[in-house]
Amino acid sequence: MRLIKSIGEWLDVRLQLGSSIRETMEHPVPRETASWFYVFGSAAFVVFMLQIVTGIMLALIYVPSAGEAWSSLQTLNHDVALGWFIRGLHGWGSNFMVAIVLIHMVQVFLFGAYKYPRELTWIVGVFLLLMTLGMAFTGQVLRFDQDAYWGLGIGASIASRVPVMGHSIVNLMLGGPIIAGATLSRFFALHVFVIPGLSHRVCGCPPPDGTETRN
Amino acid sequence: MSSTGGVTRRDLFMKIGIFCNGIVGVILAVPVVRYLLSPVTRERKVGYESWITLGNLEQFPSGETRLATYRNPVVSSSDGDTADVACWVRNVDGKAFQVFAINCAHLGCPVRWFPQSSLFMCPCHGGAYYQDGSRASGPPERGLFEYDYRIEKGKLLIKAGEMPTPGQASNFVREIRSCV
Repeated sequence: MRLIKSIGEWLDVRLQLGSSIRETMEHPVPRETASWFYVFGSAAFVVFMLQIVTGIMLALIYVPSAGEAWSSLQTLNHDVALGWFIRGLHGWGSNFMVAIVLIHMVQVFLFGAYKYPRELTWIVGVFLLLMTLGMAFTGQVLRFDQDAYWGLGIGASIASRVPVMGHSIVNLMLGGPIIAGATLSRFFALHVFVIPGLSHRVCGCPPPDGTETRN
Repeated sequence: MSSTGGVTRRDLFMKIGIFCNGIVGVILAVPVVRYLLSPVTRERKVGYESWITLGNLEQFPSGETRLATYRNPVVSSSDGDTADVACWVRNVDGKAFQVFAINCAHLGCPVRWFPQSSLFMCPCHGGAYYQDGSRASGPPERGLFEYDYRIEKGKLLIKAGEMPTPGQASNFVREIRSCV
């Protein structure tokens, strides 16, 4: 215990993180703003972290190939210790993520928390909402079962109605003329690299909760 | 803010909060760790190490050493060609056999049989073995890994299922007997 403490102190002298974390934790919150309605932002963040951890776990077993995606999920469900549980956490976590993010948005709207000087927080939040929905869609594609296949068909049909460019957008989305291996590969890339990378960038942008202006 | 006892309400709530979060963290971490350790902890199913046929005895003429391949007994759907494992079969005198793992006992590279010099040689770091698998020269500290074999209905069978590595205490890879 003493060793952990001295290692922690050695790091903190150099990183200087401890005091700012302590300050945030001990920051007095005005009585009238201490409300459970503020919990949904943190809740979304917690579920987001859970999705990252369980997602990395699933990536250890999952095979992003049209021919093997489904059977690799059978392996995950039946041959890996608690694989079914990790997969269940990730699947339910995605539903919770969408639900909590929407509740969070309603709360921010009803409380008027999008007003000056927090307009950018709202705008960034809209992008994060789109990314959450994008993660939910690209994630369910990865199962590559009938749901995923016909869901992609719906997505392609919607995209095809864009004037002039519709046909090209469909080909771009599917990675070819039909829903096949290339489609799964690009949705895997979107789900695992592109969207998480983008949301990581966007998350870094908003000011930290705007608490300073509240003082 | 601070009470007479020295413990503030704020401190107490923070400690309770950390405690509750810790419990949730542990509840989530335990299955994650168990999942991660699955390749180590899962019990070895039937067929993990099993008898696999290498083919008819006629494929392995007396006094010669030939390459054979077998399909590993434990496979998953995405293994492809990597589940086809190669090994060297030595027909000693028409009756006794020796079946060597392809992997060098140094760092696991595939050894090759050279009948011209009657040596197994490793392309990576120059490990060399005599025809009976015992170490001839180079970095390996032991001879080639050897599979248990048996003959059944004119076919050669070996007991296999796991890649032999120098550090493992596996019961199917026997230490080679010293050169007679």
